[in-house]
Amino acid sequence: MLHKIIKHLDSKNSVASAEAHCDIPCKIYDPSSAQIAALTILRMVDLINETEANAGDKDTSYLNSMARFIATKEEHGIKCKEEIRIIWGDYFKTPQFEKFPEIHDVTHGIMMLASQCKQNVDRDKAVALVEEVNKFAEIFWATKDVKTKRSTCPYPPAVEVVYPDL
Amino acid sequence: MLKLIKVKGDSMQPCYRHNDYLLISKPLFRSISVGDDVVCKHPGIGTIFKRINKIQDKKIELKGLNMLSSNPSEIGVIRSQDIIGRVIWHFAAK
Repeated sequence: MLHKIIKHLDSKNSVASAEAHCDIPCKIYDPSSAQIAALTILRMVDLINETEANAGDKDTSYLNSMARFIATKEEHGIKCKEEIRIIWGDYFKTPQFEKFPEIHDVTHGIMMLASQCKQNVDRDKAVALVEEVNKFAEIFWATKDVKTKRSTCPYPPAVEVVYPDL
Repeated sequence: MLKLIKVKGDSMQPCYRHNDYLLISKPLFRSISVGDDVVCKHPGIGTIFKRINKIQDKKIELKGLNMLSSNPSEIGVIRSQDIIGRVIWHFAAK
């Protein structure tokens, strides 16, 4: 009865609301998607350079391969930035920020490097991006008290990657 | 001093449901304590409705009331001045 009266009043004069929402999908955060995106960027840079070095006639096959490599590099640059932004913006809260204040600089560094990788074909920048995303992953797992290890990924571009040591 | 608030979302189920109304008041005669249901201005999320889970060193930890809610460490902490009011009456939709 009282609820009905208030609801009627609410329809005439809007009552302020308080959010009691759940964050769905709940608690599923993992930097591995960003790491794979960064590795893909590096791999695409290598493929672009190899294709350019081995190109004879720059025929339609060459153009097709280049277009695909560049499109994939662009796509994974966007993905890498998005995955990192979501973890930084949704998962990290005051307790994690207080414990790992360097996460802001690492995140911003990833944004800058990923943009530079999108704009250029620069292997050094791509390697730096992989390393910066590795640092982000180390901090992320540290917030969960999960140990990490560094190993060379068992596929091209065969560079050092941070993995949770579960 | 008194304020009427509408609940949005399901993280306080089963005690409170979406579109329930709350009458809240600033804590005056009794200081806030663990277990109080409060509406507060969260520095990162905005105006939220949660239950007080822990109070330590003037930092207040909040929680939702069901499995789907973010856990307290994800919600983070607030300060007492962030509390808009404590629930003094609950008008359930059903």
